[in-house]
Amino acid sequence: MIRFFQKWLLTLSFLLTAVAAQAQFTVTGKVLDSETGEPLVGAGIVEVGTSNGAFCGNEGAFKLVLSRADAIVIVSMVGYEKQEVPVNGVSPLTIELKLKVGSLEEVVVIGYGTQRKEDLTGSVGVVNVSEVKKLANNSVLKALQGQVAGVQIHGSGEPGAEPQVKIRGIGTFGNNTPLYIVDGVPVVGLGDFNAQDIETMQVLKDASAAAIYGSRAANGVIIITTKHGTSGATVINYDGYIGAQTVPRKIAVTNREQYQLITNAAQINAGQALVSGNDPNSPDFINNVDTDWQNEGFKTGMIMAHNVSISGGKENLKSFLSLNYLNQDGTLSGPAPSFERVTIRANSEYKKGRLTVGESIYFMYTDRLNATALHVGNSIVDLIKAIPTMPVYDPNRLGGYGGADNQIQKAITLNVIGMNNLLTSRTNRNRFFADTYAELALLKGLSYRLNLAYNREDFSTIYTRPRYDLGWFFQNEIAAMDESRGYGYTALMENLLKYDNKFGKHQLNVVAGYTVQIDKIRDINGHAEGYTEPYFWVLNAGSTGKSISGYETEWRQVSQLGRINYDFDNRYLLTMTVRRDGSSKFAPASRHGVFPSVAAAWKVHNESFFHVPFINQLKIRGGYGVLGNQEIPTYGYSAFINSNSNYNFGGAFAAGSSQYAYANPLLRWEQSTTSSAGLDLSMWNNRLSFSAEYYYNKSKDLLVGVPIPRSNGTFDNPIVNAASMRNQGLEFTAGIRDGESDFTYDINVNLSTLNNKVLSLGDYGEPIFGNMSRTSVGSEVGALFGYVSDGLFQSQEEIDGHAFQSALTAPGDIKFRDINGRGDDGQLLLGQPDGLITAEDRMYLGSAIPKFYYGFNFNGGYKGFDLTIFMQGQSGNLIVNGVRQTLSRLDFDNHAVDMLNFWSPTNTNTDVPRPIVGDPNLNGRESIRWMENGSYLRIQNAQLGYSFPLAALTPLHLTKLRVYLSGQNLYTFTGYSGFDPDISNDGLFSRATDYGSWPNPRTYLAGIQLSF
Amino acid sequence: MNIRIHLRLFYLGLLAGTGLLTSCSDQFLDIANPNEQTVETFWRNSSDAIKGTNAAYASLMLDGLYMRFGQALLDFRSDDTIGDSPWFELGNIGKFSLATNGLGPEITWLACYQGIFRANQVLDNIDAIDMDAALKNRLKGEVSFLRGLYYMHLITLYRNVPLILTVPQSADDYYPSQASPEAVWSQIISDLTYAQGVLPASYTGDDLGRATSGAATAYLGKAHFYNKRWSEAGAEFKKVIDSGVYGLMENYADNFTDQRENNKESIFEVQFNREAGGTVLAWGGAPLSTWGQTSARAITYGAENFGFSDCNPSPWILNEFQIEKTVDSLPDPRLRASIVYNYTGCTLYGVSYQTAYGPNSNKIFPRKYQNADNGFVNEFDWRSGINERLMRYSDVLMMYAECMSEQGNSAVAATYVQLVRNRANLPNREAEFAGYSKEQFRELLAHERALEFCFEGHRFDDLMRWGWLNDPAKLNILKQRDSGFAGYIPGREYLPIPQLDMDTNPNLVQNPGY
Repeated sequence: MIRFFQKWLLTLSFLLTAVAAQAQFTVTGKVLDSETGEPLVGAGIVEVGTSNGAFCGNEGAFKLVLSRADAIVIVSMVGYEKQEVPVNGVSPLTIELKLKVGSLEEVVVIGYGTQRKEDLTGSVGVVNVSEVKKLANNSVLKALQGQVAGVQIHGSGEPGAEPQVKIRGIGTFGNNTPLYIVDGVPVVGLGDFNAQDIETMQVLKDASAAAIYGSRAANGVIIITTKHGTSGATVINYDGYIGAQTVPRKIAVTNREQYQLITNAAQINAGQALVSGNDPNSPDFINNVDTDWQNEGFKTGMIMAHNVSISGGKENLKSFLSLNYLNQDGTLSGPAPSFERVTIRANSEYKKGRLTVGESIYFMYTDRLNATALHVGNSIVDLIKAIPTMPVYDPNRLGGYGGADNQIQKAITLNVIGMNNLLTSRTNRNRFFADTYAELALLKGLSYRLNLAYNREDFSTIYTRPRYDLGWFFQNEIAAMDESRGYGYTALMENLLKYDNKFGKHQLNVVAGYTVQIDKIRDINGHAEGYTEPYFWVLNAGSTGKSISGYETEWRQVSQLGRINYDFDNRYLLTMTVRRDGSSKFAPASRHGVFPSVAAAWKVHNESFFHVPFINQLKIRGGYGVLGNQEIPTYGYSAFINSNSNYNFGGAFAAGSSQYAYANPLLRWEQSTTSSAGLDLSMWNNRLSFSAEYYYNKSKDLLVGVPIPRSNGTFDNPIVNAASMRNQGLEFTAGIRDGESDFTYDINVNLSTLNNKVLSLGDYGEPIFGNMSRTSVGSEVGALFGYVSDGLFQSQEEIDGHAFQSALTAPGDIKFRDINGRGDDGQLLLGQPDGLITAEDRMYLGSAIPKFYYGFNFNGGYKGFDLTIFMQGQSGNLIVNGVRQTLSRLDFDNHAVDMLNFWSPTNTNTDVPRPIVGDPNLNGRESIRWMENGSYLRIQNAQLGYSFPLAALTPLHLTKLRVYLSGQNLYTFTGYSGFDPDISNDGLFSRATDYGSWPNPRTYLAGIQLSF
Repeated sequence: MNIRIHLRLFYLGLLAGTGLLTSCSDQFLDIANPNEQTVETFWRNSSDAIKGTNAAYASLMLDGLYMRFGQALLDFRSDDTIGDSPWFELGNIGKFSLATNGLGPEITWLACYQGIFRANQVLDNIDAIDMDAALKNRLKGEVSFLRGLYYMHLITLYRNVPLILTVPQSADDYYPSQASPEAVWSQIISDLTYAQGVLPASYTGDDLGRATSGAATAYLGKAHFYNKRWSEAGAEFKKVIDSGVYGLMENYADNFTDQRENNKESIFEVQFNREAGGTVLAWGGAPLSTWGQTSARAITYGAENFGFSDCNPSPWILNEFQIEKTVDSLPDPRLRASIVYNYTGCTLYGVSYQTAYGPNSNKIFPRKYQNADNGFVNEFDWRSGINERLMRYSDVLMMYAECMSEQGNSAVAATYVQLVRNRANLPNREAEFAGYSKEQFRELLAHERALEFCFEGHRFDDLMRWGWLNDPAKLNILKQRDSGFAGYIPGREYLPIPQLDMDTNPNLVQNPGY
């Protein structure tokens, strides 16, 4: 990032030569490496006090027009020490630059400390924060997509919703979200943080890197540091953008006439009388309504952000203040979903003698209108499957919105526009996050640090439903509201001793610490009914049906940690870490876990025998370690009595109590053992960099709610340590940065593979089923599973000759393949067809996990212009298109247009089955029919910016002014027929299913960045 | 300084710190659940025992039982109803086209086993409680009755089911095999026999609605009856008849509204109540304090415009009612108490039928168990407080009659059939019936029971035990009455073992036909 800016400034400076028109002395020359004498292509030369600049071209040669002959130039090059050279009227000049000690000076935050990037022993992905900031998103996590090898983001396009984040795949059957550390404090809800406040972001991917976070690091760790004040002149920055967001694609569904054609055929095939609204012979026949629900239901949303920050300080006092505002409208017609956020961040740091004291205070307010849903629905699917014979508006219905009628249309169809305007669900959150620290230098190299952090969130959700009539299935006679309020906090105390010293060739860095953390959430939920117009949406105004409920959850953790980083002669690096955690989530006997790790690296390029002049860096590293996971609900080791199992006798309430779910008193830590080996290579003065890494992670004692038979009388599955699994993969990152004179560019690509396998499962190895998936021993998580369809039956003879499916199977129904049989004792007879299509005929149908993920980032600069193109994709997975499945039900909901080609005795050359209400042959069952290739490549961002030359800015008292235009999610290359192959769901057992997740919007932005 | 010394210091320090901090951290990490009592601290006194017992009743109100799907699975498959719900989970029940992962089979199975789990909790724990012995026995009787009732639902719906009689203690107990139907019936009879012996004949006040010895006796009779042990069954039914506790309500319709609940005809009913508890619909999951105790039957069965009309009377049952008039040449009063159809003066929810559906409409809807005459304007708040009468005295009379006729005593049988007919004001044909053969009497009961118990969840069980589904001629008749029978194949008189249990429990065998 720093290098990028250096070049960037040079580009900018060079531009200005055109503006500064008093050329008085032309200097030419060469810039060479002081040791090797090699020319330094791409080195920059700037005249001090002006913005004149140039780059060295081939053979390190440059030419620069100076304002005067005795000017001073600054010569710089990535990885070399900067040099000031008085010209003194001499030309040509030969300037030699010295290689910096440790050419990769980039410092990486690794948890309880920092490390030079070149000294890393573990797998740490460093995020290019400037790229992340180019993307307009409500969550900074979404912008991480495709940026770091091994980090998988599956995103929700819904305003205010967090995407799913996984590091190196699914490590556990529970919560796979990584641990987020902001300025040293573990936080939840990273989306709350303002992207513009971020200074650095790094992803700790393996045990040796993450082990210092022990029990909570098994899913990986994302560490963020925020911007802090720097000593020097006070700088004020403004960043802002405004943009429009649209849904990039529509799903083709039938219009009124086509809908009625299919629905009528489905009723006739089921032997039903036509519903009157679809019957041309009925007086109720609808021919004057033809609603295109996607046209009506999607709108252009707006996204806007403003960010102002001020930073400054002196040697012993630095401070920083920023204010950020974000506003995002959704793309759904009506008020929701939308998201508004205000954040304020202030931090400062004081120094007095041996003492450093600082604090960081963060306040956030969000206002989110949540997408509402009625019954078991999802606004996106409900919108797509809404029938064209339902009007959007209908003044005769209570509330003014159209609906369907039981007698006329019969469809259970929801007017999503009406729902979105009538129902309101609003969540407000206030988050206060304060972190204070004091560090005291005790002896040479030894210091003590105390961190005290408190993160509190107060939240409320108010959900109101007026009286309305949205059709026969969706009417509300009783206006009601729910109000939930609560708070949660995390209190953290960390005591750290740090020791850092060098003894000859030995460099030692030691951290030891003791930390205590308390987390608590408490809420209260009120419900009231019987509101009358005019509605006053407070609980007090409800007249009936009032009830309240509330809960509290608390957990605590106590940890001891230690780490040694040892460096011998800048050639051999060793890291040893151990952390011991005690968590209240486990029974006393199994409460504590110890998580050690070790990693080593060898800097081959610093060996005396290594003489490859074009290689700057060659490092080989490897690590091994154990991480823990406790992401399970609290109190899981005891069985509890539910005291709401009530009944009534004689007309009076009768309290009932009962054990509801089973517990597992033997709950213990889940452990993940990770091993990795990697190689880092930099060549030609770091113009080319390359990293490769192999990892092998094995998790055991996975905490999972193993589904138990319902015959145990409960819907809830006890959490047990009942599975083991391994993930392995390769990660590659490569970068090129180069440029000549006024053209510079860099290209970064990353690619990662993922291979997952379940090694053991449950008490008896019984598989876990998801939607069209089966996770079993030897398979990967969420492997697709279902029936194989074999075309359509064309005749009764064909049906009679095929395995039995249903008594109502008829020509035009789908033929399913008879693969396996069932023995007399009910056992599966693999590969022995039995003439019956039963659940035994389901089989493995493909993988839900992409074989690889990749990202490609191009940045180019030409004079004042800059261009970024960022593409990202994944390949090799199948998606279960649940939306298409819904649109192919061929009954009263709307249909996909493809369904018009349905089988009939006169249209037999088709793969679309006959329509029939009720689908007795279960043509819609879980089968290969719904599975589609989920590979995609997306142009995630294209951005063109222009920075005004300094000369033009000086009169305006500005030091920087950049304007840009940007397009996000511009185009997706994919064979997937749904809205968007980037889907969100449970991310686990049903990870392949697109239930109608919110489509990622296409965004066009215009932005401005200025500093003064 | 030497590296090794550094390392040693580091580890020593770490260990010392660990040792010092461990003892106090253990207390720090002890956090009791502030929301709920643990199983270990419960079951201490009579109040706990009563609450545990009440919970065992509450499973009857679940969606899988009498909130909705219990009735749907029992009624929709029979010939007195046509289920035409646009929601396939309901619409396919009557077409015998349920997928093995269908909602109804899964949640009904779960609801029955939840009731059994709760009953088993009481039976496992109550003996250790120091409490009044009479109360203890009564509570044991109540939960034994309920366990028998839940198993009777399971065996009639699924036939091949696991028999679980204690609370699972560890994961080893989570994966039971299926018991033989004989073993399940034998347990049902044992539970009901025990309940019969310890339960009181009746309750008053805030205990009204608890299981009585009469309820246990009637169900014990029914258990024998379903196994065609006519003599044992008849003996139990006779005990109920002779107890003097029960009688027929004069007005048949009083059995299906929220006005005359727990009446003299009612032997056991599920208590629904709009006032008890909260108003949130109790769809499932861990019970919440906000849950209501209402049924969604009325909205599901409710007439068009007033409910979802997912289950309509078959034209056959409407005709069947019109075969015979009362002694006053009026329609059978049970017809208009059971069915909404187009006749002069027909109103529902305060609206005349003809206003709602047009003067010439031939639409028919259930009226039984609807709130059409309660002052409701429709059923769209989902919440019906009408108790579901699971066992009525008239059923005991009819079952007793069947026991008698099956034992060749059609004279006694005729007396009891006529007793039920008298309430409907139908002509006295006792003498005629007394001369019927067994076969004739079966035909008679097939007609009489259809009228007396339409939409009460008994009809499909009757068809099954009479063997109609296995008799091609009878099956053909059923197909004419209700086209849904076209989807029937042998085996599908029982529901599938839920796919979820098949998938998670390797010890289960799927029912034939699925």
